[in-house]
Amino acid sequence: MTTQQTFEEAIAEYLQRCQEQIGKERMEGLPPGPPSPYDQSGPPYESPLRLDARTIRNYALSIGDDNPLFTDPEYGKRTRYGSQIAPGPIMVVVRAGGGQGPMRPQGYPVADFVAGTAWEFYDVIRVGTGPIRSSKTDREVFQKQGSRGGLIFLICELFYRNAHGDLPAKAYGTLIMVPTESMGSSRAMSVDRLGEQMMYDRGTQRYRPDEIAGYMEVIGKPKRRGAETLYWEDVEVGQELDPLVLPPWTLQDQIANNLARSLMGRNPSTRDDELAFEQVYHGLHSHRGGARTHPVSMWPWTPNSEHEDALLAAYRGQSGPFDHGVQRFQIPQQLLTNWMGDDGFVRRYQTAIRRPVYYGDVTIYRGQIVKKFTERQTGENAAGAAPGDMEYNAVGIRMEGVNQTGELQAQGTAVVYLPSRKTGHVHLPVPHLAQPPYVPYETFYRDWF
Amino acid sequence: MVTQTFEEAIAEYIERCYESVGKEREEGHPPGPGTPYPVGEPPYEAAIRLDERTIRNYALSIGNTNPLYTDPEYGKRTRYGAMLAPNTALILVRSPGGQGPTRPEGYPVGDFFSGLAWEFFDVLRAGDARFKNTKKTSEFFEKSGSRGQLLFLIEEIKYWNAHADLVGKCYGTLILVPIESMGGTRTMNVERLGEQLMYERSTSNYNREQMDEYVSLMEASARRGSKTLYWEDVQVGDKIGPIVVPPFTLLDQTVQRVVSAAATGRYGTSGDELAFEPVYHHNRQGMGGYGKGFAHPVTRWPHGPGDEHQDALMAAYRGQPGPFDGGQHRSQLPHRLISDWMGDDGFIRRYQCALRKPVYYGDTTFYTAEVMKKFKESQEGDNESGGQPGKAEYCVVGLKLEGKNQVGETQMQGTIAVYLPSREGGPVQLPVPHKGNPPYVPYETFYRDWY
Repeated sequence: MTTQQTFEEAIAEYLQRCQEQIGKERMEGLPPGPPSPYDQSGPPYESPLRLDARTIRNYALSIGDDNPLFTDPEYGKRTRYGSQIAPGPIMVVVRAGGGQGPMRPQGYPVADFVAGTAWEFYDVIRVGTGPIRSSKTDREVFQKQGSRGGLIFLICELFYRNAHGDLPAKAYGTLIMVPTESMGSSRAMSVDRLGEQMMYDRGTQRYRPDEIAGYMEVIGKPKRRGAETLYWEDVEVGQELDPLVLPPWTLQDQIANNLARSLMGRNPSTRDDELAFEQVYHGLHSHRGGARTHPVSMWPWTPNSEHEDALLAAYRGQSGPFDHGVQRFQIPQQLLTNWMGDDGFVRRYQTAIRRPVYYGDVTIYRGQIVKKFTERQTGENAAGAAPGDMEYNAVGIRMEGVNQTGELQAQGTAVVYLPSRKTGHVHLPVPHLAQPPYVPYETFYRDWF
Repeated sequence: MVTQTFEEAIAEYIERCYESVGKEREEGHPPGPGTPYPVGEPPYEAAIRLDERTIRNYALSIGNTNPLYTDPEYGKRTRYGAMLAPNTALILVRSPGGQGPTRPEGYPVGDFFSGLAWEFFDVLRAGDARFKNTKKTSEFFEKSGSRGQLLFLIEEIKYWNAHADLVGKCYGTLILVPIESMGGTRTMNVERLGEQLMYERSTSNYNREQMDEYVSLMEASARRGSKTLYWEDVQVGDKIGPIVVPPFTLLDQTVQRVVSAAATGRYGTSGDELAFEPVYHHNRQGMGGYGKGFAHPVTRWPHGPGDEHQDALMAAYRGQPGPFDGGQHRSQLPHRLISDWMGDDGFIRRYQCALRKPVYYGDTTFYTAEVMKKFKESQEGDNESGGQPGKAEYCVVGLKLEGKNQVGETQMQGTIAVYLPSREGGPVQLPVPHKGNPPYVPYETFYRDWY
């Protein structure tokens, strides 16, 4: 089965298959197979995610957000939504923008990094939202020269449809694939070459007592607006959002989110029942591209613990435990919801990931208002669309996440609709077409206001 | 905060432990106000609902892929008519273990969950919810171990389902090791980290022969499933297993903490802490009796007790040389050995295990059992609240359980009593008749060969 390829041949085949894949459905994130009760037909494919109160709460906590709007059903009933709602990026559990691109049993010699996601939201996501269906299509593939060699960019477009066929959200996912010569012609690097090609080299941070005290002070401040309405008229360009400090990154921070997504019905990388233990071994056995030899125990079927395990991180070219990109791009939504309060609505939200968040890193997320404007949204009267023609009071926000050494870890832009003293609250759902047009990478990646 | 010496703190702790005997424990209360769970006197209502996904996640978190616990359709075709949960899932309702008496700064004791004993009276079905429970300290005593003084806290937990039937009982054993380098609180000074380690063993290196052997054992392990195992066909001396738990990973040890937190609330707490800032606030407030955070030896940030298990740099706070497993989690892993062997029609009536040395990162565990005894026993119930009236005779098999690691150390020992169908007497009658308030089984009884 394994063809004897060189690294270059494997990369050439991978690129060619990426090109052929444009416009086609991606084979990641499909429903669990039989005997599970999920409809296997699609696209759009049915997701096992059911948004009950506890699932929403667990999701919010796994991205560090304990806003009662997301965690307390009773609180939600008193808001204008009349129910608990979920942070929009929960759609990542339905289907994520990352993955591997084209696959084969032994994999391709590319290290995969989820590098960002851009979201469009048309409505809030309420507790009780039932079967959600999704499609995920490759839209762009291109190569860029990074500081460490050639990078392959895979851009996909995701549509999320709720049980009524409505479209509460769309997303565009950016996956950066790093051709890694030491992997040879398969995804599993030889253990003997582990550590040859490291992307960064930075030890775990030592903090001075005054630095820790400074972070604690920010963490201790009240930072959530909640039920007190923020009006568009009261916002000015140049205003800054209250910073959000993430305490030194722990293994639990990153494992909790990864596992929480599995518990909700979607193992990020497989269709099967692998949470841990022997099931993981059997999973690796059937997808040999995922198997790694542990550098100390030499056990050949070590699971996909490249993220949390200090000894395995080198398989992804990292010097120590590092965060999941899929998780990181969901975290700054808290910066927005804390600031805008319960009555604001995130219409567009884009984050691009820079350097990894390593074990022990603090991240400070900041935001600034860079634009204040109105925009018209027009829908149509078709299946999956929301008809109407509305004007919204919008604010454009630039966000960044910087670590304790000043390195940039995330950048992004967001457009928030705010209530207005003149025109009242934000009208939802936002009118939209049944099939809103594709927004290309070059558009959403820039200041997407 | 009073500044106490280590000795004073231990004396106070021991005194409070003695005083706590017979009283409700402070861990595992319902989530607080803001949630729909009544807060008040025991018995407490647990936040868990045994829906199909929760059961499946739980089964997977103890390495059990049996379709009886993971596939709702399969369960409907069994004699139970429904998907079942492994009975040990009651640990999510209220877990044994904990800290005993608490105070914000904690007491200078390393807490090791060291075993439990279950009594089960019925199966747990998908849809079971609104469990009520009580957890009382039932015994406290001191022993001298190879590393000095050990404190034993034994507790009795009762679980009632939504119909107020008693479905199970649990006796938990918590061993507390006074640790001088913690001073007067639960939080060891970071400068003294690593002074008092309990064991010294590094991650095992496996050779090719070992790997081949473990893989072939894993592949050879079989599940009986719907094919009935009759009591008449079991003989004393029969060997069960092994099941092999492959080299232990960080994922393996974290999975149940996350499953538990996602289903109910974190072990030992009733709050919203899964990760990130909520954990920080929890630690700062000294909730749970673990003190106000442990300084990370490199970053110096105050982290919490959960990190002691999975984080190589924090493990020394519990006197361990590297990442080590959660004792409660381990206690549930042999369930698969028994359920694979007895098939869908057997019933685990008593299940006791005592933990020995920790399972470290990279350790492989081999669980085996042997049939030691074959007998009949009569169970009689009453008509009291929570009781199950009637009288029935059961065909029983007594098993001795053992878990050993790759270097031959014993990691677990236990005894299990399984009810099996008989060709003469038919299927195992459930629920097992029992009194509304079954008698307490003391440590000296369940700790020995409890068949």
